[in-house]
Amino acid sequence: MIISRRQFLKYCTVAAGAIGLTATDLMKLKDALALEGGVKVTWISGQNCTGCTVSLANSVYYATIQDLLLNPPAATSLDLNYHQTLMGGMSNEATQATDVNTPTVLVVEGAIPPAASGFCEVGTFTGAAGESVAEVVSAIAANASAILAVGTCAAYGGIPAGNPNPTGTKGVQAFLGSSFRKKIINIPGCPPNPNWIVGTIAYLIANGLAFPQLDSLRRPRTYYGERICNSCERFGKVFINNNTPDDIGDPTQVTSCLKKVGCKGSRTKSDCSMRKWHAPGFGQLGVNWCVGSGAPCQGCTQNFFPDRMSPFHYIR
Amino acid sequence: MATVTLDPISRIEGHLAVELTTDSGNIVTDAKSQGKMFRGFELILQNRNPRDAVILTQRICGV
Repeated sequence: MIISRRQFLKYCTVAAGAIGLTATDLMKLKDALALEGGVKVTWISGQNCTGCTVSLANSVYYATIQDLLLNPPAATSLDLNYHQTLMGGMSNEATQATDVNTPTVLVVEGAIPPAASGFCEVGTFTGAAGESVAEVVSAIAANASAILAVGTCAAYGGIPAGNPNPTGTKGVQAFLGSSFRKKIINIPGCPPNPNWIVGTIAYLIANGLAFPQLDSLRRPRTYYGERICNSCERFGKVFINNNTPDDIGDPTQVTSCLKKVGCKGSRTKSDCSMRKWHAPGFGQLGVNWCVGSGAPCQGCTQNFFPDRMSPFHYIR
Repeated sequence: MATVTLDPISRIEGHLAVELTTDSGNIVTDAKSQGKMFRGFELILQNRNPRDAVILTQRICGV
């Protein structure tokens, strides 16, 4: 699907409003997206569940995945260099066509186990057959202009790194080390909201790969700036009774605070409560979110998910 | 007789490689597939609150 110029400008306007771009930035975004070949994006999957890819594929708020990433390179688009789940090619033809030395925006989904462990092999990129994700990420990261760690696994280790961390796996920043810290943007979430991923990429290209304002966990403040409780519709309401298993997801308790049944909203930063999930159409906010449907927040955007968020549900 | 190795297989969830052996008539005589990623969910789930299993195991596959 190729978008028309009119549609594209409409997308830009909405995107700019939502992520706080000025009119000058908007012009830059237009220019960046219109470049031949666009911005190169290489998407590498580690120990992932592909949930982040599915989340990205559900993007409709700023632009759909077809509009943003999969247009032919000559059209106004990003150039999605390599993506194991979305690309048409496969095997060595796809991996060896990926030039690891060209500057690119490297997107990592999933955690990274040690190179020699054999816990995650992604194909043959630079020579040796069956390279580990650790080798491939190191090679591409060395030349990358920005590294996006999409999902809590890539950002902080997430569930694969949960106690006892059987595969010795790490998030991107812990794996690459402190010398790469300035190149990394974390977009945690399990999965992250599609708007967080698309909005961050749009910000990068609109500003010539300058980074948005980041917090101490290197998450964009636009999306991870406030605690869930700050704008939760249940905040300050009577606590839900914590005596029976029926309390969780009980439709008669829709206005109660879920803290006493295990909600981690007070320790979790994201804009879930305002942005919500499953946006039904272009420029529209989502229809619901975890806490809105009666499920306690799991704290999936924090660096100590899942271990220090456990137990997720309290039933006494 | 030829051997064809496809690694990675794209458009699927996860990391998969397939190795095919064909005879002189291009008929596949042997096929092996490998899942190339391991996270150890069984080990991660041990010694946890049983109710956490609901949250953790749903992340085995996100598709």
